[in-house]
Amino acid sequence: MKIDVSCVLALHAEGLIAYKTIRAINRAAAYATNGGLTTELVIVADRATPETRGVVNNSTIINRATTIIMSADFGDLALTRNFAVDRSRGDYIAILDGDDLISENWLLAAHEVNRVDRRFVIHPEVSLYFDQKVVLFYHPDQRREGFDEAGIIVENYWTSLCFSRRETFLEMPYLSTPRCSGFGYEDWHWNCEVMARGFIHTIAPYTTHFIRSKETGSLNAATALRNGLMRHSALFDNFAPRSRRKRGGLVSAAREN
Amino acid sequence: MLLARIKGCLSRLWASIRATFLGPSDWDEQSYLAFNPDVREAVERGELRSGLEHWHRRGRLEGRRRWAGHVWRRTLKQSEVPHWLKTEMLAISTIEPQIFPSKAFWAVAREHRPMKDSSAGYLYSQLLEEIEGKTFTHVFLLSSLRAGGVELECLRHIQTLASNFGARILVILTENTDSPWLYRLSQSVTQLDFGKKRNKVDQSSAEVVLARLLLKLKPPVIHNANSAIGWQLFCRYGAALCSESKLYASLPCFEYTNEGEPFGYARQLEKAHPYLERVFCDNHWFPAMLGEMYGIRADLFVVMAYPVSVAPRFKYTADSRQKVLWASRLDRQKRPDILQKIAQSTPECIFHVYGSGPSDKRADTAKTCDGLRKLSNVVMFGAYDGFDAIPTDNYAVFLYTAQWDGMPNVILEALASGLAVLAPNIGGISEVIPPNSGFLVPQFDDIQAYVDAVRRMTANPQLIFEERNRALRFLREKYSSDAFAASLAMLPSYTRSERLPIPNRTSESDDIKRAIKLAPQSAVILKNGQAD
Repeated sequence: MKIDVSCVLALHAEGLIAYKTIRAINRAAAYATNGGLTTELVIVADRATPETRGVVNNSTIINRATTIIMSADFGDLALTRNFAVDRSRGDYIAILDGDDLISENWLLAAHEVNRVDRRFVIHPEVSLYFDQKVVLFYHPDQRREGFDEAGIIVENYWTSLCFSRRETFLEMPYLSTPRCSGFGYEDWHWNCEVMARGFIHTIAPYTTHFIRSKETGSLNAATALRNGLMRHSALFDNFAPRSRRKRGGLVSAAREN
Repeated sequence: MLLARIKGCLSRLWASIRATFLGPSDWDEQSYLAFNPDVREAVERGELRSGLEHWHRRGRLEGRRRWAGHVWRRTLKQSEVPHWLKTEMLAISTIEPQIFPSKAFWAVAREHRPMKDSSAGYLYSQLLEEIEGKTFTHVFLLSSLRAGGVELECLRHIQTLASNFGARILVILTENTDSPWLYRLSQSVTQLDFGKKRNKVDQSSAEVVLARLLLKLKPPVIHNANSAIGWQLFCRYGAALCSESKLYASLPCFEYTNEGEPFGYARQLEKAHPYLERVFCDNHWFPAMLGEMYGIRADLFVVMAYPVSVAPRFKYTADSRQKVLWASRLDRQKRPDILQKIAQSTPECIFHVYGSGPSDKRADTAKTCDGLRKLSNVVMFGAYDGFDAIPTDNYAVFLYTAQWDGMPNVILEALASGLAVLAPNIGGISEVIPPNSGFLVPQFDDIQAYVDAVRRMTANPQLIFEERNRALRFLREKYSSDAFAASLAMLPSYTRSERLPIPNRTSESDDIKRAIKLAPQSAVILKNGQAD
């Protein structure tokens, strides 16, 4: 059976939260199915805690017919995602996070936008942080006039949730960031690298990523606490001179579309 | 355009006022305490009322981290939330009740739009453009390049690496101050004035920009000579930086506050030492002290004898009225008050005093200087531009009266110039003046011991001649340029010019290959759809 969208979900220590995450994915998958897409869920339980494994193994909300469940011992989010992408069958990949929820329209809307240009990497229009703090985060659109990539050196413009063609992830896999390396923020680095390779970050209008904010415990908080640094990206080598030219070209392309 | 600039200036001014008196607009107490465990402990002990108090008192100046990244947030009004989002929230709240779009939910909400400030990226680009695609074997981090012992030692490293080991060197000046000694760098050394440009961004952005630049350049060696931001980088990002480069540092001895608390870059060693390849010191005493204080392994330290030019232009012949030379900064470390008491107690000697006025502006130091000027046997010559600028005269001895020090360069210069030196037994001085020579005073503030020593020497000039000759022989043997170069050559990871192999670094395409290759061992696809 042809699969349009593979939802990649890496799990580690989410415990019962994973249950809600999977419910939200099911909801979005049903919406996408109504829109004519076929989806699959690819779960990789990487050094998963017993409670997390329990959710994956025992939960009745998981449709075993449309789900690939794998157990892994990477201890690394980047490698886990790469592995899941490799084993997925969809034309498109939706990278999801085990703690977070997606809006019902996410998969369908992202797919619609991505059909316009194969180089697109789609992000939700907003991310809404909840739990420990409430922040409404607007993702920038690289196609918009005024987009400036130079600030990405100190701030990640986009969260890890994204949607693109499977080839995108095969061409530019996530880079591993072991704790001992001093590096971190594999998704931030990935965002930079795909830009450097000519992919375009854009948004799917009216879509949301609900992010469970945690003061401690999340990978980003842990990375910040251990003073992790993003790896060098080719994007940084040519900020200023390229930025304006590229932006002009993109704006033209967006208008044509 | 003008209006926008004025608006921008006012905005920055208000941000500065607010940050100074009220705290940053996005202040997050919990994050600050989480990022700074020492502050949290101080708050828990009741020594500080809050993290914000620490931020105002020290944290801002120390560049303490207060948030995971850079944020520009503003409070969000419920009316600004798009209707479609509220509708979706209501629907998904059946899965996650915390997302229910209640008034209480929005009461604490803030809005964040990234891409508000690209100045850090532009600064990074500007620095890259100035480097013009050059590659370097060594990057030196210096706060500035002005007269000073650490700077002099750093110059020795740079000169020797460039001339003896073919190093391609970049010197990054990290503070916004003048560097009058820049002319001492050879033409082959590239300079980058980061300090003059970094005021375009805040402290933590400046750290990130510099760290990113070093990651981009990937020099085999990064040597922090005396840069404060360099030490911050070594502490914070040392793990990442040392995966691409070997990290070295030079460490001068501690300074001490009025209350006697030691301070200086050596206090950063506790955090930075896991990432450091070696630390250069100019004496054995200080590493031993640090080893005892922090329990840091002894082989982290390399003691270097920085070359001095031995040119004995001072020659002593016994005189009826003996002359004593004193040349140092007139500040509380160098203890001119001790000099004053010695001069008062030895009216038979004339004291020639070189040194700029009190830099610390302390009333007691100024009073001491006035007192020195009033003494009939003291002649004050004022500031001097290096030891070589002091006119030759018939001095019996060079007198040093500091309270603390490591290996004072002025002592080495005085000895190399043909002077016998009378000094206190502090820091590493006993490594160049033997304790049994009679030229080392056991207690730095023992005035009578100084006086007795001066009288004993001047009464027996042979002691002076012998000490002078001993010191010259010692310096020629131990403090020569050849000896220094030979010491550096003993550190191949410091002197070699090729890039380091990076065993743990996986290339981009290797990552996925590794993931797939590992699959049989590391990942199991379960036919029954169960996770192990």
